[in-house]
Amino acid sequence: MNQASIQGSWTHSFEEDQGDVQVYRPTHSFAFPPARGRDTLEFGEGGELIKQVPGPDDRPRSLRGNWTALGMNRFRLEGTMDAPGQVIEVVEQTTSVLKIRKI
Amino acid sequence: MAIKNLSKQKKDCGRKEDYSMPGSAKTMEIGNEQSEEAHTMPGENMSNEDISGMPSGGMGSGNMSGDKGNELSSGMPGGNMSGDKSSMEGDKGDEASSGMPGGNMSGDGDGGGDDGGGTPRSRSCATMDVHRQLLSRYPFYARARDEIENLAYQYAINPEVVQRPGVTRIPIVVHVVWNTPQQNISDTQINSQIDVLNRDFRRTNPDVNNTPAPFLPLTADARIEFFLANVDPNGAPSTGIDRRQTTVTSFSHDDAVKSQSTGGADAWPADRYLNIWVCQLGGGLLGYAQFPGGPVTTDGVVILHSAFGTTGTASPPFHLGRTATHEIGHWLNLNHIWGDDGTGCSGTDNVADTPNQAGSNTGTPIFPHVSCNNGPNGDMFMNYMDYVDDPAMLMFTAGQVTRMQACLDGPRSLIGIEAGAPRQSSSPVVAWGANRLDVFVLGSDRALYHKWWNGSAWGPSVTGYEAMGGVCTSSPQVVAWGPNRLDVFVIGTDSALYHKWWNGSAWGPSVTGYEAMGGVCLGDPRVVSWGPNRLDVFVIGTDRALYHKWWNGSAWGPSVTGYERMGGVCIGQPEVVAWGPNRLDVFVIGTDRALYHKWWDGSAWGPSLTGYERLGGVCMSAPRAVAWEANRLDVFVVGTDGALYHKWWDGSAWGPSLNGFERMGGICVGQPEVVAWGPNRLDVFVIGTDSALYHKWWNGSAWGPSLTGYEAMGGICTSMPRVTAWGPNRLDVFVTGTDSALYHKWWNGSAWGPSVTGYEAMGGVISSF
Repeated sequence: MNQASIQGSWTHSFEEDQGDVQVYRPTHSFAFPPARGRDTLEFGEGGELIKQVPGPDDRPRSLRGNWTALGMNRFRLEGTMDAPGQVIEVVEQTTSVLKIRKI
Repeated sequence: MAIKNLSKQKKDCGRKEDYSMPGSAKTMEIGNEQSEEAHTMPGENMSNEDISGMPSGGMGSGNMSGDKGNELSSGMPGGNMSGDKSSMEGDKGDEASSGMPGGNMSGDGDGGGDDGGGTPRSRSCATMDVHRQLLSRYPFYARARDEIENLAYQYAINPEVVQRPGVTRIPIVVHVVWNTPQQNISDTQINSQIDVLNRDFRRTNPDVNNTPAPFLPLTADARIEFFLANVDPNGAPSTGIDRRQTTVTSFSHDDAVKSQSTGGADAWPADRYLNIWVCQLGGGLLGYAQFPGGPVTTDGVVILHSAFGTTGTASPPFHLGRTATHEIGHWLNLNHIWGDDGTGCSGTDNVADTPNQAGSNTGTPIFPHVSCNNGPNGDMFMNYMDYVDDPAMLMFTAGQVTRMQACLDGPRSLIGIEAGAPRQSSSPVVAWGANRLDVFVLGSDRALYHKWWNGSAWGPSVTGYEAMGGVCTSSPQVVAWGPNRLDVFVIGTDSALYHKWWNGSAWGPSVTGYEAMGGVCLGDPRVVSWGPNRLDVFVIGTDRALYHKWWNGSAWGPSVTGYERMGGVCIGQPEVVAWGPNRLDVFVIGTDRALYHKWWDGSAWGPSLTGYERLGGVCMSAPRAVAWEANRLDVFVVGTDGALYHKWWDGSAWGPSLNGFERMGGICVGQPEVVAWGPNRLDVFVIGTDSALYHKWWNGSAWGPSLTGYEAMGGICTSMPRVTAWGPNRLDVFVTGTDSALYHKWWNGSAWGPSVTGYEAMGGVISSF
């Protein structure tokens, strides 16, 4: 899996989660049902990462960081104090779905 | 000289602030210098015990001749026990609006009732979109948040300090901002949401019993109720629903829905209303809130129309109205139960009785869901402040309630009807809560008698009274500083002040006993409570100066039987009102019959301890004052022509002028009565020369039935009217009739009961009321 493939904006479709596998769908094309809040991961071309999470007042709040490919379908997501580093493993990916597992 | 509106003679007002009252002789000034604070009043009998029966006829025997013993329910001696709901004799018929007999129907005074009450609004910046941006962009917000958190912490460690021990009722305005007709949700859908809030914030939601057993004892009543505002910001009657069509097909979380200039609807004043915007929201967002301390123009909550209420467009799984419960939780300073740290275990919701929890829960979790080593019970995912579906959230905890109450006492202290609201002067009639009345009278034996309305019936019976002992020479004066609390003050035959109290379960010092409070008083005492467990008592001494004593929650100041001398030479009774915590405004009539004013601002008396501000006029009655909001005063007196006169403090100046009065017509006998059942609302009652009751009102924009006209309410009254309002748009009026019995009538929001000119007979033979 190459670096370019996870680029774009993916939003957590938590209704589809299976165990520890989290299912993300394309932010702008998938018809998400209403929810109190959803996480969004936007993987930029140059390794920049924008993570959007529900804030304390339920408004989406953006946290900036960056991402790097580690190989073996693993990626390190790093950021500021607001977005502490974590490693994810992509377990499945098509144009319409991104399934990840937190390591 | 009759009182006139002297607005054209403002230049004559001269010195305006630090008057001594005419007749305030030098000797008194000397007296003031000699002793500063803890005066005893001239002629005071120092031998009274703190707790005693009231002396009868100054004998000091401690036995009350009129004491009827301990029977809780008795007819009053000589009481008319018949007649449950009769009209009073002399019923004047049904004319709903008329000038008062003998009244000057042509005098229109000088108008001037308009204090320019429009609320200035500023436009909000439409781009602020997150709590954090507010923090960085608005330094005031960061400071306010610090103070709010400090207060919340103080409450968390010391919850008994709450200032609103009862239920706070918060007026709501729902701004329905719609683009398609479907989004223009029905009144029924809106009312279904209000019903949900009134269950969820009172712990009367049936599903609270689905709380898992380990968490059930933590569930708590937030003691908050909500109602659609019945008055708009300008005082006009309102449904509390503001509908706006917009060209915006879908709103975001950027506050655009909160401003007309960006396709939304402007907020109503956030210090008085909870603003709820209901609209189409994009991005799957159900709603968002603003924490206390933020900009007033964006204060409130925003809810997706299909997540609002329980009917109409409300759609599963967000069809039980819990999105508004959750967002209003934020508006009352509650944090997410997982602590807003993503999925970590280090965040906190600043509440001690909720378990530490990793991240948000969604859907309908199965109990227990363990995270952050919080087993065996796991996450409190059924809390309103988690992210689960509507059917899965059903409780607040006691710790969350304390945090919300801290918010109501702190940053949102002006909202809602409860403690913190302006407090009226004492009267023989009081309402310590909604649909509750307590009435005190003196019988023909001059003992104190009591009756009460408990929400469904009169106690001890419609025409019966509870005997409370004593031999009194003043009308009883009662205040309630909290729910189920009464403090009654009377003057005894030795002219000293006496006190008794109801603590929620028993009368102190006993049903028929009194606490002796010293002094030699002329006329009736006046009492006000500016907050829980606080009393301020004012009396006129034999030197006609004003005297003051106070209960600070633990002791009487300056002492149980001592008084603070406040100068002046007063005619008749003082009047006192508290428009907010630690604020007092006292009005008296001087020997020149002008109105005089002094005030306590929380740290000192203005214009000085013994000085008075002269407010002009030639007054033939004691003043009656009311405050319908903080820093607002309305004062009524009767002039030498018998007409009613009015002046007001609008927060910055006296209207119509420092020494001027607005003439309101009529020929009045005795003292006027005034109450305010809500912001920018006044109801004034007077007795006419035919002894009938007359009524006029200020509805926020005009006087009804006209500036100088009155609504005739029938009756032949032998007492001044005593009126209280236990809730918005509710009035209860009491008078005595020619048979000396008590009579009652009421306004229920839409009609007078038992009729416009009819009265409910309440029995008794009353010597003073």
